[in-house]
Amino acid sequence: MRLTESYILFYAVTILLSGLLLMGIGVQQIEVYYGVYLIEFLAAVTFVAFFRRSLERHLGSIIIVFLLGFIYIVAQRILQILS
Amino acid sequence: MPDYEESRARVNELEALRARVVALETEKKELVAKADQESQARVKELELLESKVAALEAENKELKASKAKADAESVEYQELRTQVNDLDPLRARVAAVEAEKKELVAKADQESQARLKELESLESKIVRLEAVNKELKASKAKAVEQVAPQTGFPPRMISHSQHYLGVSFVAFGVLTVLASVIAGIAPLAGLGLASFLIGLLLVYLPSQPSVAPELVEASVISSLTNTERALRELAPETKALYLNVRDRLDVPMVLLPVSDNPSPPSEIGLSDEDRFLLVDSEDPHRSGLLFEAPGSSLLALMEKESGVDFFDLAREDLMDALRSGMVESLEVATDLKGELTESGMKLRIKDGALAGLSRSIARSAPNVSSRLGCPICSAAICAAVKTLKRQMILEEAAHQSGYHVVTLRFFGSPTNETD
Repeated sequence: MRLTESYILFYAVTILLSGLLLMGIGVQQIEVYYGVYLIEFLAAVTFVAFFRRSLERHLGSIIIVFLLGFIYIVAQRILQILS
Repeated sequence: MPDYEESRARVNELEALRARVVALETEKKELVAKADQESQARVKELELLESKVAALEAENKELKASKAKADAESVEYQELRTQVNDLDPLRARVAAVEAEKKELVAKADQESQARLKELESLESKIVRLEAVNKELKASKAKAVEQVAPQTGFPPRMISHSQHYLGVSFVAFGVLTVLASVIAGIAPLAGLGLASFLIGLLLVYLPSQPSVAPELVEASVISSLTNTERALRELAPETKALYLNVRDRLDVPMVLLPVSDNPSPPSEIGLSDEDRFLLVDSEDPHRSGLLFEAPGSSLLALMEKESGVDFFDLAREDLMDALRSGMVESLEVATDLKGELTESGMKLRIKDGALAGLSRSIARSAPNVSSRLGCPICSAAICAAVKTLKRQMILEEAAHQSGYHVVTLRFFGSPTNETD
């Protein structure tokens, strides 16, 4: 199995398991799911980038999209707290 | 009185006789004196004649001696003449040999001229090859510049099935999130988000090489075949010497020397890496063909992908870094095993994505494959040379079914110790 395939499979299994775990413990906020998935994604990217630097560069655009979503969530939460 | 007269006459006669006697005595004395003088003169003359006779006798003796000598020389001359006559056949033979020599010289001249023409033809071929080499380098650099920013590595090309699967995951995720929002079931949105992210990765991340191995093979095999022809025509049957890399930015080079015992490579001027033909008319040990190692670009890519600079690597970390770089980063091998000894190194590389390329090179360019090493073997050798900082002689690069077996010997180490 190629490295990218291993990476996608590993990440898919991880987030599905963590999603089921979060569901199991009754987490209701979508932000929590998002945050956990983002952390797992970044961890997986760091792991795979150890072997292939270009993959890290290639995933850069996805990381930026993820971070924008995270910033949106954080901003929304701040606005919620402020209001 | 008559008596007196008579006596007087007789006295006068006596006196006249006495006077005559005196005159005769005087004359006699004169004559004696004259005779003495003449006698002395004759004696002197006789002595002179005797001395002349003695001289003549001496001369005569000398002449006799010289005559005897001349006779002896004459005999010797005759003998020599006989010997000279005996030399005539030898002279004829010498003349024949000289004629043959002249013919051979003429033939050698002709051959020399033919060789010169051949050499000129080879030089022109080399010039052409160098020009082609430069053009290829330029086009390669241009292609890399054009392609790299667009695709990166591995280049993007997603198979249709993966693409559809990714889009399906994304669509499923979006629908699930929407459904969860509508239904007010937050945990379902979490699963939908997971599905969306997995789909996104499937779409974005390539799982197939953008260029099929067959395409790579078709692209490079002609160039390698040209190198093969150059090796066949120009290079003698010597083993390749991978030269030491003195700086981290140096391109690994490989020398195919004219003789089996090349001079220490440190003495070979390698200031200009574009040089293809190293010629030293005074010392053939310094002459040979200088190639950029076939795997140098692959090594550069491996270093870029793995983030490992082999120049800074410790000797004991070489195998791990090489395995990680070739198996994980480039995926050109599925396994790599190596043995590093004091005298050399042996590598066993299991084929990966470019197995077909290796087979094609071994089939189409056997000299390149076995003497310089295919790009995969060569990349591994370059990495080893860069880490160990020692020249290495490629003893053997065998391409068996699914495996590359590379045997290397450190320059200066005795042969056959790594086997």
